[in-house]
Amino acid sequence: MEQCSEFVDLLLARRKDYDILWACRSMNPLSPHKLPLESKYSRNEMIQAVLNNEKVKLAITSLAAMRQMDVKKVIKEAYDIINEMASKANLLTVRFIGLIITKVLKRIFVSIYINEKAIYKMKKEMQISQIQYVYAPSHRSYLDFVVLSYVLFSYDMALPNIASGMDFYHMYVIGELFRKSGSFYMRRSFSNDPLYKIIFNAYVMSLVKHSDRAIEFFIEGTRSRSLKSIVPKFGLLSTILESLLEGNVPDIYFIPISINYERPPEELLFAYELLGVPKPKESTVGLLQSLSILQKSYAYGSIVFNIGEPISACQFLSMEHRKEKVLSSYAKLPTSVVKNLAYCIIDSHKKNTILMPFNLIALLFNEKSQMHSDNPYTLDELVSDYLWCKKLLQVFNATVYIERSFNINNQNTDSVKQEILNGLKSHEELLIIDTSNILRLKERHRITKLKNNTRIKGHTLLEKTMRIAVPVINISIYLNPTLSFLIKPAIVTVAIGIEGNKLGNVFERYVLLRKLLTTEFAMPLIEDESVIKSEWEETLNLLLRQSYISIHNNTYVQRKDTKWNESKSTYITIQEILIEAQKQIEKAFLAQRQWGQHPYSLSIDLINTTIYNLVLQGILIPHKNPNLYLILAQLQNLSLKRPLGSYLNAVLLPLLPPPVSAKL
Amino acid sequence: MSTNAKNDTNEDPKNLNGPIRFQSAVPKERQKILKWNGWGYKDSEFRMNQKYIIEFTGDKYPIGNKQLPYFTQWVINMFGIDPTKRNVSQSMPTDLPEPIISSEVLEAIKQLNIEYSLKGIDRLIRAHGHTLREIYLLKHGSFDRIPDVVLWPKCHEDVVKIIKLCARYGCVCIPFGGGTSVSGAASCPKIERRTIILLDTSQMNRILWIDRGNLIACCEAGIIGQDLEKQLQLQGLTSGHEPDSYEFSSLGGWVATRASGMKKNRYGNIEDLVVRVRMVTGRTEDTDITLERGILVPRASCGPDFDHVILGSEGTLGVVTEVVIKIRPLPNVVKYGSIVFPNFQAGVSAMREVAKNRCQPTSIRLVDNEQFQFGQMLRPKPSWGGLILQGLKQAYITRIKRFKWDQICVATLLFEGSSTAEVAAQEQKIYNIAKKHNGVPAGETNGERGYLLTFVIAYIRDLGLEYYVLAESFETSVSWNRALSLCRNVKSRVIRECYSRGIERAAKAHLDPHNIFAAGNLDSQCLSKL
Repeated sequence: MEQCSEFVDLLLARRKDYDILWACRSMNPLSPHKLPLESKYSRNEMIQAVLNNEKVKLAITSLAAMRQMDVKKVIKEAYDIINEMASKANLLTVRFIGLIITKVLKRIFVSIYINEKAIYKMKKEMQISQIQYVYAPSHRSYLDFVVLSYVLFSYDMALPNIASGMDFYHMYVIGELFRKSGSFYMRRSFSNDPLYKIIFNAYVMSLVKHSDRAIEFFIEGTRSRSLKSIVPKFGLLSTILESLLEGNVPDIYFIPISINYERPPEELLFAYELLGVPKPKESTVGLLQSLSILQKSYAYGSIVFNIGEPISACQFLSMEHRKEKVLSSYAKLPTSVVKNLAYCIIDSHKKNTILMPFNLIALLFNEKSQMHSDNPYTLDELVSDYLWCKKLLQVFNATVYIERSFNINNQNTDSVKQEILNGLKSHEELLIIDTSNILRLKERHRITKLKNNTRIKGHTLLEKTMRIAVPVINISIYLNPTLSFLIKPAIVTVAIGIEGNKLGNVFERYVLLRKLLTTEFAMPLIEDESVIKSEWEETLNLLLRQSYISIHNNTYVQRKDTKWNESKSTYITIQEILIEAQKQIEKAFLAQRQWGQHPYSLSIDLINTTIYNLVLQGILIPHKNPNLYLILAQLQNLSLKRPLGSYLNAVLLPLLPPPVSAKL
Repeated sequence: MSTNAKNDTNEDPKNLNGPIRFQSAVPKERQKILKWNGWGYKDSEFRMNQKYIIEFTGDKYPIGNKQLPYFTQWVINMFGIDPTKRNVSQSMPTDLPEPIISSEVLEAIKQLNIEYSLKGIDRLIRAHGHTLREIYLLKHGSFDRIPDVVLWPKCHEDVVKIIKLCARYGCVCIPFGGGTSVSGAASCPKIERRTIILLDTSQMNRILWIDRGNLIACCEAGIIGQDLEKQLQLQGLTSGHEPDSYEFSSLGGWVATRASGMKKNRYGNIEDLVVRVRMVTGRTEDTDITLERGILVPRASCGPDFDHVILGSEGTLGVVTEVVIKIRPLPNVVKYGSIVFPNFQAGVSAMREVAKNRCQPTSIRLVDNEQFQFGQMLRPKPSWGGLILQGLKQAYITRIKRFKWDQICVATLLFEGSSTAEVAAQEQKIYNIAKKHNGVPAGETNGERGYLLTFVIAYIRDLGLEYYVLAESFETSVSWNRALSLCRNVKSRVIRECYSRGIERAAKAHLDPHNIFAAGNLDSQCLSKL
């Protein structure tokens, strides 16, 4: 909790003086990558360097020969590609955008907290060394890169070269504005366009080497609709590492950044997307329409911006990798190296996740609805469970953010109550305490929303299902951030089961579950048994120390503790998600339609990651692979306790008219 | 040999063309004129005088007996040293470990009739090379193990006797030449309990014969660079091998460490200069323990060339006793030169093109901005005229050519040739290439200064250590495409490593990729405040 005191509200200062003066202040933005003048390239020099790159030149001649066309035409094609790709940097544009962004952020957010010390430390290090920097933020909202740029601008730092999708490029005016504030554009998929691929690699490598500005990219590749870390993408990362391997820069520091939203503006869209409703296409018109979010001030609560310790990429490259590269310039970096770095960044995102009070409330609410749907939360019950839950999470090193106005040491019921009410404030469209002092979920699904849903990704769901699924998924995504901290202990407890199991058995079950859940919870798939073993022991020892588990006669026994059982069943819920997903796949196989108990199992992402996981392990390739049945059989043996309640019977508060929530 | 100088005498008055024995610049008792705990001559050193201005003592070097006010200021600004706070070296230790030697071995050594010493100081000053660690231990620490006895063989046969003795009594033998090694090859392993015999080759330093027709000379391995060059020059000849340590390092040492000299573009590295090597091996089971080729021809096509195994063997395979090397007539014309480049990258690409066109002059080295500035600091206080001239030059470079003073770098050049016309042609080629890369010729004096300072640089570390400043130099060889990034990456790494250890007044790394090879060769120096 001590960390909390380090966070500073950026918007606080902005509300005190004039934005225009601030945006136009004289500044000398600090460039992270100190370069001698002659090797700092402008956009044009960068383009020329790419076109003169030996590999690009070679590719152009071979392509011309292959297609039997004039080399000049291919060169023109290459020029068009790089011209579409390369970024510009223009301080004036940045100031202009900065001004508008400030206005918007001040309107919709209460505060933007940041661990300022990390920024100052980073700035100091930038001044002494000559290394390149890569910002690797988590991706939960389109606002991520806006907020990051805003933060950098606020601290007089140069905006990075931001890897952006072509979606933005096609936006009228905006595309070019983004480019001028540092974006460069990459197509979504170009593995089968060799020229594009080579040019892209050459461009990224020359950014690493010749740009004095850092690089920014989202390692998760896309916004995580479920608000939990997703399996990292390796493409861009491996190109950046390749540049380091060639010795173009002394080192590259990756700065993992966890951006935590109390309420991401896209939350409802996410819920729909998870159910298979496609996202609206990015367009300038769409952007203007989305300005409707400005209607209500402070509607989206706070953002907590947590910058992690820099990760030096050099430590991932061994002498052997470097030697191989010197001995043969075509040597490729093993994918395991890229993977290790990628998961190191993801791990840092998870560790630096700051939980909002609402995340805990969502966790508890979900729990209650599953276990005791007939006995919903009253505020007082919520307060006591909330306190317990917070302590539990702290055992697993989670940081729960509370605003500075609260005294950290004074955890009396009143202040906790206030904390909860504040947490609920920005979510009053989803979850409220109704007039009878009971915590209730509100209806969110509007039929009109689905008018022209011609491009639904999956199965078209019934209106009746949607009515329940939309709000439930909406609240479920808020409990997901807590799983960064809970997943490992959860797997351990599930593996142990309730009755108690023999030591060897339990570990085997742990390995199986760990394997199955790797993709869903963005954990690296570990092949080496000893590594898994040490991970298992670490978690287990933590649980033993807290005496949540004890060992009797070589058998693990869970403590019979009412609270613990309750949280235990939370874990079962997670486990149940897996089974439901399995059922979905089973359904696909056996064509037996059958709904899962928890609507979250309808999530497309969940099904996708699970399928991906199974494919990864080679289980899913042959349709009649007995392995699948074996795993299902093993899962049946896990003696899992199913939650008693079901959302199907949940009482939703009607959507209209919005009831006036009590004293909020 | 009628041209012999007075103090150089033929050993055998009857054989006028016989071996030349002469008075070496470094006597058998090295400590008489060389520092026991630092680099070079006792009378030559950088020293902070009473007025807290650094001066260079002695008259052996061009900046000798001069005050260096700019350098003083630079040192204070860069490292924030306190001129009043010195970290004085310990005095010569007297409690050195007793030699591990049995009376039997000692008796056998006496029987050899070869000069030897068991004295502590003789053993200590031959227990090390010149790495930072070794010098620091001399000044402020101690060695765990030093040689037990020092032997001074006078000829090949003496060495054979010593090696046989070692084999018979199970002793260790470390050959020792000039003692300037930076590979750690001279240090004694801590755990070695056998008797360590140090074989000092310094008294085995005759020039055995000179063949002017074929331009080769046969020398004993202990001859040191400056002696060899002096003797050859007396006869209008030169070896052309001039490593930065050549005042003190020996011919045998050059062979054992694959040495390279700054004039290697014209004369070649040691492996190009060596024609034949005689080495006493430790293979006592063979009837003859000397390894040598039985022919003296420019090259042999049959069989492997063992000389190339000996080159770079660091004394691990045996003791080099005699070497036949190529020699050359002294050049008629020697000319210095220098080129200023707007930045380091331009300098490197010019060097690359010079190498591509294979028109390297005798020596060409590129000095980066930090070292260029540093070289400027080493100049003594100028006279009025000098000041104006300096100002004019600087104005031309910065105002008219618009070079930035903190970015320019300088290439220093040394041309040699048989005639002025030949040298002029060489110059023309180089300056044309330089022009393409925005280089501006900057005169002879700048170039000459660069080369004259070469031998003074090694003295700076001792001054640094006295004021808590660490200095070390490292050399490497790198392919052209990696030359630039190597320089940058090394500097950055040094700075970051210092920073992470809390050394804030850190570290200016100087890099001076000189002696352009077909690939590149980099020599770097870095200094940091402790």
